[in-house]
Amino acid sequence: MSTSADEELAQRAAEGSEEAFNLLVERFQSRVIAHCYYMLSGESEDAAQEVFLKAYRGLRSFRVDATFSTWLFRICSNHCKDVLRKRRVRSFLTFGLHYNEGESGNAWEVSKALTGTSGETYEQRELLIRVLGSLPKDDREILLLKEYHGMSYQEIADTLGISVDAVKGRIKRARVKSIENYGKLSGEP
Amino acid sequence: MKSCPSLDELLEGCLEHLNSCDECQKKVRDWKKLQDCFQQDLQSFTPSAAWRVKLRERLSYRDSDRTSIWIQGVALACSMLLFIWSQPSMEMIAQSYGGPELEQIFLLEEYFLGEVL
Repeated sequence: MSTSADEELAQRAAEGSEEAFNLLVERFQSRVIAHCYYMLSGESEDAAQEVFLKAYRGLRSFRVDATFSTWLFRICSNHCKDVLRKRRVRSFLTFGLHYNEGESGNAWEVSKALTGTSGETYEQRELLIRVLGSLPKDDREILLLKEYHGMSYQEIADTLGISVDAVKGRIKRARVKSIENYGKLSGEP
Repeated sequence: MKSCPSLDELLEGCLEHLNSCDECQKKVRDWKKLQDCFQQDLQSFTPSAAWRVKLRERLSYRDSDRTSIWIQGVALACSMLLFIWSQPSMEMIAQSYGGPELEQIFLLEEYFLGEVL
């Protein structure tokens, strides 16, 4: 369905239509869970629920001139940052016993139960986790928005609240790093 | 609209380089594979039915939960105000909430403090 339909649904949901919001959830659930999964290295299903709850509560603040996906992923991005911030505080208070920032590929927990996949898809997931996990958080996020969610430079700039030039620079850096990492990790000649 | 000759030259130069450079060819191949990985991986993130049910429950209970929290808050504030306004003595508090054990503690406390002072 077209993007304009998302905004139309968001408007109807803001007016109190639960059906419209459920449709939006169905359209974006996989992308939001995947985004949380790669940003938080686990706890993605709970995080995705929080994102949709926050979106539902904030529907009245959604402006029609913005795209719904940009608005939703801004909420998603901020929520992931909040979770990571809380983890850092918890890690500080417990002297690093519960540290799980998701900065390193080794800290990621590959969840078979989440996807119910096996074999090739599972290996592919593991490779992606390692490639993305070796990138800094900001680079990982921008690569997800571009390559995973297929957003334009302008949409990414709106989502993250940075300039288009900054987006271009960061995407270029993230791509170069991820290609290098993929080349090393895939072991293909 | 005419195409820019410098861009054409640039692209031609890039292609020439790409055709002759093994390292760049490998990087382009890797990038394409990585993009395919992204697209295939996204399709495997389908949430369970339990996840959808839980979300619907949380969405539908949201308003009633908020109202009940609000009522509880107001009730608590009112009882606190009433409590302060009635200015109860320690004995009254002991009788109302603590029972005889707490009353004894207050009496003992009074006795010992009285001795010291």
